[in-house]
Amino acid sequence: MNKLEIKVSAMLENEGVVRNAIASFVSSYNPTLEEIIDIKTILSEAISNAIIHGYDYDKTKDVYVKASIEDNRLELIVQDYGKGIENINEAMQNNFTSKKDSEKTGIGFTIMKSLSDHFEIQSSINVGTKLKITKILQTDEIQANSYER
Amino acid sequence: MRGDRVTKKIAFKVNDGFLVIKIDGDLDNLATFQYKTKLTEIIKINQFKQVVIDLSNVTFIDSSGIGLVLGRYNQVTNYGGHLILCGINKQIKKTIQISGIASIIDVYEDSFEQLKNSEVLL
Repeated sequence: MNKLEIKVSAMLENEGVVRNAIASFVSSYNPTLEEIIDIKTILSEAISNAIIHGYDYDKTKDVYVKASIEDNRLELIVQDYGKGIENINEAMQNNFTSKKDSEKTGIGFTIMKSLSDHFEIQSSINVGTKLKITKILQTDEIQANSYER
Repeated sequence: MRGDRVTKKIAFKVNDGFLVIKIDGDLDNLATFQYKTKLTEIIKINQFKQVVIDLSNVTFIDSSGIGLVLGRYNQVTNYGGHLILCGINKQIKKTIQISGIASIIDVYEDSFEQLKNSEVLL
């Protein structure tokens, strides 16, 4: 197993830093361009969820991101110790957002779920939220087999 | 200086009665936060009847970018204008599809220039 752990301040500026770092980490496993875009999009949604909804833009807080790869299985964990999600089922519904006064679309969870092979939310009020995402990559071995056909 | 850097990634041009907004680079939360005020002001002051958002040079989009577009769509349609979204390249196509934005806004894969040349916008 190969792994990468990153802790960043809850600042929007760090979203791009983390998604590019993880994309770079994954790139040595020769993913497709589509997989890289999917991973970057999932991370962007997960980190912004932590910054905006978990911490209410409190820059003194930290967001924790862990990536691990074993065989062709990428596991991502994005965790905050913020206010938590009151109603996970409601949050998972399309077009729901707790930020009613903003232009948030409320589709972040829908996007993460659509782009991942497994998506899980663990959240407790005033404890925090942990998002666990699995993405199965098309590995070299799979690609090599397809060339042999 | 910070303002100069931001404006390099977003360009406004009035072309044959269309306000064309062309965005470059990643359209994530940070970019959305930086562009929103300027975009809102320009549309509010000029009340263009035809507004085009061209994403052909956008390399990444997430739900915040979708929100920026939807917000401008609401703004433009509120005064009776029309907004279209174009330049949906392969790097942003999947997220655009998942968002379902095409059920609300006219969305084209071609850039504004291509649409203009093919007379789609006439």
